[in-house]
Amino acid sequence: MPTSSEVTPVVEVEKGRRPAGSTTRSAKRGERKGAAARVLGFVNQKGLTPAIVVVLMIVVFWAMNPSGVTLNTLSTLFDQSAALLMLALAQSLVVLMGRIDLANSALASFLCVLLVIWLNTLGPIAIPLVLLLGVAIGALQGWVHMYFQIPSFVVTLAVSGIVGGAGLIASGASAVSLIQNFELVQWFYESPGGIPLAFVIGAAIAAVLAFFVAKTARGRTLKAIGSNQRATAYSGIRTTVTVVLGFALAGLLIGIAAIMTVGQLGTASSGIANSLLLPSIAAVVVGGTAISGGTGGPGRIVFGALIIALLRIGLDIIGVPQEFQPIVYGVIVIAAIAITVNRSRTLSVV
Amino acid sequence: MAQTSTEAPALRLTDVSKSFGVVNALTKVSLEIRPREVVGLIGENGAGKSSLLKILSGNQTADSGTMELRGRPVTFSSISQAMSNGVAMVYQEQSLLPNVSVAENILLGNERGAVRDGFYRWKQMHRTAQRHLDEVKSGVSPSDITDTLPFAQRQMVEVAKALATGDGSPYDPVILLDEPTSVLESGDIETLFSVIRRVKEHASIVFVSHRLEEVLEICDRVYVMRDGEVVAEVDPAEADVDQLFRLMVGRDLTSGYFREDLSTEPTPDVRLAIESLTGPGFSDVSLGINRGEIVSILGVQDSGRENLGRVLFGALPAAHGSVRIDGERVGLRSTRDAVARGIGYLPSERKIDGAIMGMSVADNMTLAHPDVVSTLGVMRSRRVREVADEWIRRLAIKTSGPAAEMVNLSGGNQQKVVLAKWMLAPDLRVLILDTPTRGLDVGAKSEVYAILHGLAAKGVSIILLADSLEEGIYVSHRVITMADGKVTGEFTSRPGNRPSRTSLIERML
Repeated sequence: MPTSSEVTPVVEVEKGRRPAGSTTRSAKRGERKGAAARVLGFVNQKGLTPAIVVVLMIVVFWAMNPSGVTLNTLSTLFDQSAALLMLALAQSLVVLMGRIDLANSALASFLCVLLVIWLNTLGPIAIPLVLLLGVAIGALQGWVHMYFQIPSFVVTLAVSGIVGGAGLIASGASAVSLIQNFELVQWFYESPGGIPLAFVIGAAIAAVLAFFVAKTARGRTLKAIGSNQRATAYSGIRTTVTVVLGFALAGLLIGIAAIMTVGQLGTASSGIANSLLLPSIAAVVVGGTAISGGTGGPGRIVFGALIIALLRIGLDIIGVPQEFQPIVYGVIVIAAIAITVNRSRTLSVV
Repeated sequence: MAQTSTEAPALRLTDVSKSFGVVNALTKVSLEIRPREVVGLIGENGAGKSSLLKILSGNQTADSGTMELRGRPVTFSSISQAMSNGVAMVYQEQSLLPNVSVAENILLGNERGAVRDGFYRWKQMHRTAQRHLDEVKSGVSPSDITDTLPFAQRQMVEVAKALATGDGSPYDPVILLDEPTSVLESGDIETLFSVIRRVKEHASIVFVSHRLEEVLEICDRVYVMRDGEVVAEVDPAEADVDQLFRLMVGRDLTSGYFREDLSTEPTPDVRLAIESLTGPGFSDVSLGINRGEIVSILGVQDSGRENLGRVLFGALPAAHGSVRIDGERVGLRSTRDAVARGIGYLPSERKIDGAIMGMSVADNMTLAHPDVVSTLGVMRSRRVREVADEWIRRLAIKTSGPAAEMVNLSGGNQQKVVLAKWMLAPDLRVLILDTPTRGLDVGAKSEVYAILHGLAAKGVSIILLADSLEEGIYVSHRVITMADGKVTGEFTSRPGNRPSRTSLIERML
C-alpha cells in the first residue's frame, strides 16, 4: 500500500486562477503590528492569559494585604486546588466534547464516602475499587447519554441526584471517618522539599491529558466531536465510543479527586465535595475552554484551577465573607463564558 | 409618463460604483432591466453580483452613478423603500418568518388594506395572498403555517411575496432572485422555471445563478460580471456554457468547464458491486461500478439517491442486499467499517456534515486517516504539516497554511479540504459524493470536476450524486436515474454520445 507521499499528484489544478484569492497571503505578510500587539497576540495564541492572571492576582492580593500572602498560604493554595484541579480536568474533557457534567462533584462526594468505608473495611483494595467505580459510572453516563440521545446535562443532573442519595444511604447520612489506612491516601499532602505533592501530581496528570488531547489521534476526536459531531461521524469515527471514553476518563479523574479529598481531610460525608461543581466549571471556562465545545482542553486547566483556588483564598485574605464567594464564582462563570463564547453565528445581518 | 413606462426600462443603472475601503466592489456598472424579461446575472464569487443586488434591493446605496426606475432617477435608502417601489428580492437563504401563516408572510411589511387600526383583516389578507399564490401556481393555502411547508414550496411563497410588492404601484414589479435554484432538486427547478415564465408576463426578473445551464435556459439576456465590472452582455440563444464560463473567469481555457479533457476510460474490472440493496427510501438497487469509472446518479428529492449514498457509507442501516468491493463483502454497519474498506463520502451539507469549522485545515484533512500522520496513535506534528502542505499545493487550496481554521476558507476551498481528507487515504477505492459542487462558484466547480477526473484516472470508482443534469451528463461515464427509490434508467455517457436532458428528466419523474 502506497503511503500518501508516494502517490503522484492526481490532478494539477492551475494556480493563480483568481487574482482576488492570491492577495490573502501577501496581505498577511505585509501586516505590521506594534510590539505590544505582538506580545498580546502571542499571549492569546499560546493560551498564556490565565497564567498571567494568576501572577497578577497574587500581586494584587499581596498589595492589598502583604502579611496575608506568605509561602504558607501559597502552599495551602496548591493543596486546596489539587482536588479542584482534578474535577476541573474531568469537566474539561466533557466540555471539550461539547457536553457538560453536572454530576462531577456529587460523584466525587459519593466516591469519598465509599473510599472511607472501604478503606476501613476492605483495606488497600479500596483505592482501585473507587477508581474503577468512577470509570464505570462515568462510562455509563456517557453511554446513556449517547444511546438514548438524552442531553448530557439531563443525564448528569439525574446521576448527581442518584449518587447523592446513594452517598447518603452509604454514609448513614452522617460524616464517616477513616480509622485505618490513612497513610494510603495522606501521602498526597506531603511536601518533600517544599514541593506540594498533590498539586505536582495534578499538574502531571494535566500534562498527560493535554498531550492526549493535542497529540493523539484518539484525543483529537474528543475535540472534533465537540466542534461538529456530524462531520466527525461522517469521517468514519465512532462517536458513541469516543464520548463514552471521554466520560469514563472523566470518571477516573473524579475518582482521583475523591482520593485526594479524603487524603486531605481523613473524613467524608455525602456532600463533602458538592461545593466544587461551580468552581470546576469556572476553572474550565476561565482556563479558556469554550463551553460550546471544540476548543481549549486540559492543557489550559491548570491555571484556570489556580485562578479559582486563588480567588477562594484571596477573597479570604482581603476579608470577603464566605457567603459571598459563591456569588463571585457565579459572576465569574458568566463573565468568562461571555468572553469565550462564539457569538459570530448569532450576528447575522442581511 | 404612463405611456413611456412601457418602453422605458424598468430599472436602469448608469456608471454605478461602490467601494468598501480600498476594495472596489463595483466599478462603473451600467445595465438595464427591461419590462417583462428575465435578466441573468453571472460571475464568480467576488465579481460584484451581491453588491449589485444589494444596491438594487435598497440594502446599500451606491457611491456614485445613477439609478432610474422607469425613467425617473431614484435612490433606495432602505429595503422597504425599494419594496414600496416594486423592487423585491428573494433571498438565497429564505427570509420568511417560520411560525406565522403564509398570508402574513406574503404581506409582511406590505399589508396596506389588510391592516386597519393595527389589526389584521384576515379575509382581505387571505384574498390578496391567494391571488399571488395563484400567480405562482402554488397549491399552498394562505393559512398554512410557513415552516410546515417543504423548502421548494416556501420558495414559491417568497416569489409570491415579491409579486405582492407590486400591488401598491401602477407598474410591474422587479423581482431579484438570488441563486434561487441552489438548493432545489431538479423537479422543483422545472416548477420554478415554469413559474418564472408565467410571472414574467407582468414582471421583470433578475436571475442570479452559478448554474450556467439554467441561466442559458431561462434568461432572455445575460450580464457577465468580473472584478466588479460588467464585462459582457450575452444573448443566451447564441452562447453555450463554456463560453459563459470563459467570460466569467476572464481567460481563454483550452479545456471546458466540465474538464472532459481529463476524462479517462475506466478499466473493465468491477470494483463496487451492489446487489439488491434495500434501505430507507430505496429498494432493490443493483449496480456495478468499474475501476476508474464515474457514475452519476440523478433524481429529484426523495428519489432515494441520497440515502443510497449514506447506506453505502454505513451512515444509515441497510435492510438487505449486499455490497462488495473488489469481490470482498463489505459489512456497512458503521461509517468506520466503510472507511476501513477504502470508501470515502462527501456529504452534501458541507458546513454541517463535511467540514469541521472550528478546526484547522490540517486537522480536517487528517481526521479520517490519522494513521497516515501518526506513530502508535501519536500524531507527528511535522508529518501533519507536511501532508497538509502537500495537499494544499496539489489541490491549489487558497489558505494561509495548514494551521488556518476552516471557517476562514471560501466554500470551494473548504470543499477541496474535505476532498483531500479522502484523497490522502492510503487506499481509496470508492468515493461517494453527494452534490459536491452545490453552492460553489463556477471556478471552484470546474476545479472539483478536474479533481474527480484525476481520481478516476487513478482507479478510484466514483459515485456522483450530481447537482445538475449537465454535471451528471458531462462529468460521468454513466448516468443512472432514480425515482421513488428505484433505479429507472441507465445511460452510457461518452463524448459524442451523451444522454439528452429530456430522456433523463422522463426517467426522474
